[in-house]
Amino acid sequence: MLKKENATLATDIPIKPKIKHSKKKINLAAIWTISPVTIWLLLFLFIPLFFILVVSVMSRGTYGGIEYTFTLENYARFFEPLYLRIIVVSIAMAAATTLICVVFGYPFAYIIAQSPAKYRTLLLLLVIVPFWTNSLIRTYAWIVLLRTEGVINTILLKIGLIAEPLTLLYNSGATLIGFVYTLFPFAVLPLYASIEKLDRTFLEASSDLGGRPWQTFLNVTLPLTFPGVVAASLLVFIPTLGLFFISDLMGGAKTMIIGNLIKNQFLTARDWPFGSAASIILMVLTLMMILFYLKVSGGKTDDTELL
Amino acid sequence: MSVPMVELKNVAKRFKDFVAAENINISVESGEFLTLLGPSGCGKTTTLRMIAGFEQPTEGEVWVNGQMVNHVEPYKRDVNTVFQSYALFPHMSVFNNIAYGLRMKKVPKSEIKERVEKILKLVQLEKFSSRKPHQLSGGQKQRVAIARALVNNPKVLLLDEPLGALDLKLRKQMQVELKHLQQELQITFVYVTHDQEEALTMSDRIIIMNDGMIEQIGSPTEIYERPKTRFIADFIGETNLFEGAVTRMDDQFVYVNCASQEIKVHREFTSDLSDQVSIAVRPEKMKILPAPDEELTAIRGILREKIYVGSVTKLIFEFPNGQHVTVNETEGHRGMSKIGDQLYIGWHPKDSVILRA
Repeated sequence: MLKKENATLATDIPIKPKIKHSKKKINLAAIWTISPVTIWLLLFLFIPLFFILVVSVMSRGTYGGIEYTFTLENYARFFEPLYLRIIVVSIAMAAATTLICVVFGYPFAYIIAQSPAKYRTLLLLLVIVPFWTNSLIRTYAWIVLLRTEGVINTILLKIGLIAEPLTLLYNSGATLIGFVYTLFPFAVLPLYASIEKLDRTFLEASSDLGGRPWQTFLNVTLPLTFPGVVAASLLVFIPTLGLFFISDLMGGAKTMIIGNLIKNQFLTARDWPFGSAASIILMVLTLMMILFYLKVSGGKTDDTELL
Repeated sequence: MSVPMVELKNVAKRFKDFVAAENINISVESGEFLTLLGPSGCGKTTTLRMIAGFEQPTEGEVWVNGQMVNHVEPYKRDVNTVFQSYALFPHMSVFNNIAYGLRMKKVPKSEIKERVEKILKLVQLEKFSSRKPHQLSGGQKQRVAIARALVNNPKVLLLDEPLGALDLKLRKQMQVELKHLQQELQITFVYVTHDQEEALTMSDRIIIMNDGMIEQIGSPTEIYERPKTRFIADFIGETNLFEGAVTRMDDQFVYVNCASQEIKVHREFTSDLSDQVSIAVRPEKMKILPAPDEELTAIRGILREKIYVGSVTKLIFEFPNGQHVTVNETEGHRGMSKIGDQLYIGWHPKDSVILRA
């Protein structure tokens, strides 16, 4: 097929320049129309990113400034056990958050997608409502619930279920609660979108062919909504790595994730080059995840409209 | 007499604010090709879905192979469906699509392979077994959908407008293939379509539905030549309808006054005898006469229009009362009349039926 096309192109030499000409025109028009976006991206994404990249290979000045001498020291530091551990913990926390969000988000989204159309909007609205409040405030609300003299402990003590207050706050479990709570809607929405657009006829076909409900779910529903699962995973996993204020506030700064590290380098340690290097590493990690997921899901589902 | 393969007894399906099907009584014999025919929204698909188990009847009983199946889940019924949209699983190859039903029933692997390969051969798709549905043409998808259902050796195959998405030529070809397949495998087919020609071509019996009710059950010939209602006469093929009042009758004929003339119709072809009736005559049963004829009913009309449609030329006549009538030009008369001519149009009384006005 390809060969044939090449052959015809080669013989149709007189037409060639014409095609090129029109192509050029189209390209110019295309560039013109996308120029606002291009300028925006250039000013607010690529140039800042370039700065970060440049700073990440500079040295730290004695008083917290940037000394413009090239070094790879900032990257090398990540192979120290202290920082390697932060990366491992970050990934573990993000993976746990993703797993919990997707496992609970799937049935949640499924129920919304199955409910009568008139309730669907309302249910979706309820998922989105928390976004209307600042996430910092919502995190403080969790502290009110979980701390030693907090709502939960008080109630449990009152009804005599426990004799001493539980340590619910300032540990990695609390951080996990915070992460899951904050990112749960990010899992539900893409899952809902993919479950909702799943053609019911496929489920009927499966049932018609003898598939019991759970067989239908495993063989048809889950594979066909897999792009939604991938999208949900990405939308939860990636932001988790950067949610520093939750691990700060709820984890009592005991569970450090990459986000905390970056924040600390810029604000506390005043080591901008190392902070920049951490940012770049976070970005590379994220990109690797996305590529990995694209590859996995692309091979399995043949679905090009992922994300 | 043997037990009917599918039986619907007084079945009704009502949704919140409308009636999809009412008073449905159907009995399908084993090995029969039965078609549910009607315009969209007439309840034919709902009826099919009740047999498949996707819809629960609000009233009445559905029986399949001597068993009442009202509360039997679709995955436990001995029927398989070919869906209008095919519903082939997009993430599975042709082979896996066809093997799906057998896998669900935990058929041994070697047997699955054997049966799928056999059915692939039957539908002439051996070379496509590893393709995904999106790599197939419409006709190929159609075959896979049929193979996926047939591989399970269902007692009844339900087909919901299976050829609706194909172009005319392919549709005609598939009609013949499906009919052959059905005769070869001796499987009971319940077929839903809104295409009257398709129904006439393929079916052993046709059930005409309209507004959720059955209008007539009969063989294709009966339905075409002896429609019981005006709706059917109008829906199936082309028909000339005359309205008039019954004036008298004798042992053999009923006489109806219409188009300022008395028209006689055989008594046995009357399904209604109120004062006001309609007479239906098919265009191909009418011919142009040189002069009135004793044997035939003849009315004088003016030729107003000639429409060439390929296989025939349609002549549109106007009767004295202003009514228009379509006549198919016969071989012997080709090109002999021109617009404005006054001619006699005649038909045999046995070629007309009386219907409720």
